Amino acid sequence: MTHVPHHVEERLMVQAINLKKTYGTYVALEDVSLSVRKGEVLAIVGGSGSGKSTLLRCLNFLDPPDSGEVIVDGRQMGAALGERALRRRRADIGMVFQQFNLFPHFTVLQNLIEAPMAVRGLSRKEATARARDLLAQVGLADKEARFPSELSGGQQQRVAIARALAMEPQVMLFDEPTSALDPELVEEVLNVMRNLAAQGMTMLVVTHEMQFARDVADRIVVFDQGRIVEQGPTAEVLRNPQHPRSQAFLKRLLRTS
Amino acid sequence: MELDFSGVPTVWPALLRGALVTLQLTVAVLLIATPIGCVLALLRNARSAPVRGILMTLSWIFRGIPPLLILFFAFFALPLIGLKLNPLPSAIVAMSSYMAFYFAEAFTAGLNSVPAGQWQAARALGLSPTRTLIRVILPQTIPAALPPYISHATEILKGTALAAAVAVPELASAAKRVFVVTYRPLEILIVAAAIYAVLDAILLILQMAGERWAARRRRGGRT
Repeated sequence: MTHVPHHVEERLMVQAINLKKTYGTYVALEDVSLSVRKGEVLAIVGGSGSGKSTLLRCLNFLDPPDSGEVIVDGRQMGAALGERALRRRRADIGMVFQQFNLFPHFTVLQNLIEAPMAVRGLSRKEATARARDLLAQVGLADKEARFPSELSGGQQQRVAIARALAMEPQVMLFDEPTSALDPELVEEVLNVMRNLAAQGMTMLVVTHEMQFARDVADRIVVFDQGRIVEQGPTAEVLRNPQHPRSQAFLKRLLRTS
Repeated sequence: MELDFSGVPTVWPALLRGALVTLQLTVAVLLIATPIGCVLALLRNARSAPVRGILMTLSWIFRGIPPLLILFFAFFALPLIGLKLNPLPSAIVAMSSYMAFYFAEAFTAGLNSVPAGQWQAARALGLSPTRTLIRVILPQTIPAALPPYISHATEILKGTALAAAVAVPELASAAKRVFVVTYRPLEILIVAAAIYAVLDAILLILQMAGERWAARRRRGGRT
């Protein structure tokens, strides 16, 4: 697989400024700042418990940070917006989970139209049309009447990506999207993500898939113990990591992948 | 002694009236205790520790003391604080109050069976908490909550006989009133038992249908 070309604009899409998050005495994020430009793909790597997932959950305020700011598309996220406005802003940020988290009692189609109808106010007809387009895009046009349990893990994750895209988000957050998949199902999900990147979607991807990072990511951020220990252009960081923690971590990852 | 059911037709209307009261009581308690149990289960997951503590204590009290005592409280003690109820309403209040806590247990088990990821996915999509609860969470609680819910619900029917102690003219007390006049306790009690059995069979059929449905839901297949 070769590099996936995509256009990155100057405009900042996501800014995290001095984010801090603790759970009791455990420090999950310590003064984390980063910015992502429109159309950019950012790979986030690091050991388990290093704060990568917490960062994603702070960005869309699923888990509000204790302090710091999050700015998405020039507009501040935060509890100050009020519950309603925060929900609407959150809907602009798509999120894909390691465990898919599809709604098991809904069909594939129902999974895709529920939020667009409830949150965006689309009619059933509009939402269904959009859902069918997206299912075709992720290669699952024939599965709309199936229940999640009738699909493979890879298919479920592609449905989950389509469900997030149905909200027409400005940015997509991926939290280890292929970690729960059997090895032979990983590629079909990564391919959907490659297409998404090629279409200019801004993406923050927590991943252990180094080949994917190399092909798609513009920049890599390395986390260790709640801090960003290194960030830079993908090729540079992979070729010549500076920080000892990222050297050790990347060496381990590259050996296994 | 020989069984003689020849007198039954004359007392049949009295027994049937009793059965009707039993049915009224059962249905009323079901309709009142179910939504209250649902709210109690939701409150149990409340963030406020005092709320959770109060609920746990109440649940412990209502499920721990004999139902008969609760019936006595509702009928004999509530009037002392100015709440005077007729026998049937007082029995409905008493039975609903403790059944609500049994139902809450069943619903709590159901709520706990839904993975946290479901809440997160719904929130990430921007769904409101109410919409999340109604559309996403509650339907998924049914497979785990339904079997214990139905088994508690069938207990209500048998439990209604306790209401005889606070002068509710339900089936068991109707049977007693009849046989002390007719001197045919064996036959009358057999007929009363048969009526209970029929009512219970109806509930059992509903229970089996419900459990089959729940098992199908659990597999996540078509519904």
